[in-house]
Amino acid sequence: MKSLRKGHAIIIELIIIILFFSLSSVVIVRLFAAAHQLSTQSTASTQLLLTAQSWADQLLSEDDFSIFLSENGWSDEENGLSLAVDGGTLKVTGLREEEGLNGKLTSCEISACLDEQEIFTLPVARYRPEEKR
Amino acid sequence: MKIKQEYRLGIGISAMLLIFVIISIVTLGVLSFLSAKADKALTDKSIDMVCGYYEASAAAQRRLMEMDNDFASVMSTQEMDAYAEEEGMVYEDGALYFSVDAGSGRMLNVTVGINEQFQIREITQYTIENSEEWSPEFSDFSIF
Repeated sequence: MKSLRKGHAIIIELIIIILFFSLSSVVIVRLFAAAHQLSTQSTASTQLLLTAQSWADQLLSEDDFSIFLSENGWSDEENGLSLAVDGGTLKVTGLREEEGLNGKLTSCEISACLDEQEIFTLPVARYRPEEKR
Repeated sequence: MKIKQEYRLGIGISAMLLIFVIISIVTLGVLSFLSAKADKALTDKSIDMVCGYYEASAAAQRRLMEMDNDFASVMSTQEMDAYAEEEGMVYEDGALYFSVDAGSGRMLNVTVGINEQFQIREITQYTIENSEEWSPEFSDFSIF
């Protein structure tokens, strides 16, 4: 009789433990998933930042931004040009040239999008005085 | 004659084992989450710094164009001094100096060389510098 009671107690304990473990597992798995998501986001953001910076610096050395971008795989979109890169998409908008009295200011904005959400925008501008100088 | 030994789990052993396992996994999970959060904060800071630089650079380039336009009406050194003072710049030894805020306590300092016809000759300085005194975030924390 005593042994039977002890057996019952162990079974009840095991059931409680399994329930508690299941509940804890749910919380812990969610914690790990959140950590993984944050880590993935920051990796993609860093990758996009480096790529956008690289394109911005290349643009600054070019005379005509739109020709350079078209020649290097950027595709036309409604508001500008876009390029799929590792981790997301880069978009170039606001391409314009402003004529000054003695030179020309070429500017645009490079935006980085991750899952259709804009993360950051890099304004790129370059003033070139006229060649006669 | 062999004595048959019985091994049985006592009440409470499994509970203790479970507590140990749960504490270990929670610790790992929290550390992993904190590490990922710190990485994200660093990435956001890095994005802010880079965006700040490019915004300042774009503003500086626009200012160069405006300056070049305005120089059309400058005919003498006195006029150039007056222009520089009005625009909050410094004109000295044929060079015009100005700075643009690049965020996070940094300034983009630009110096342009001006020729005798009061035209922009060349950019002689285009550098980011700290404009604020650096202070550690945890000033009470002694490393040594």
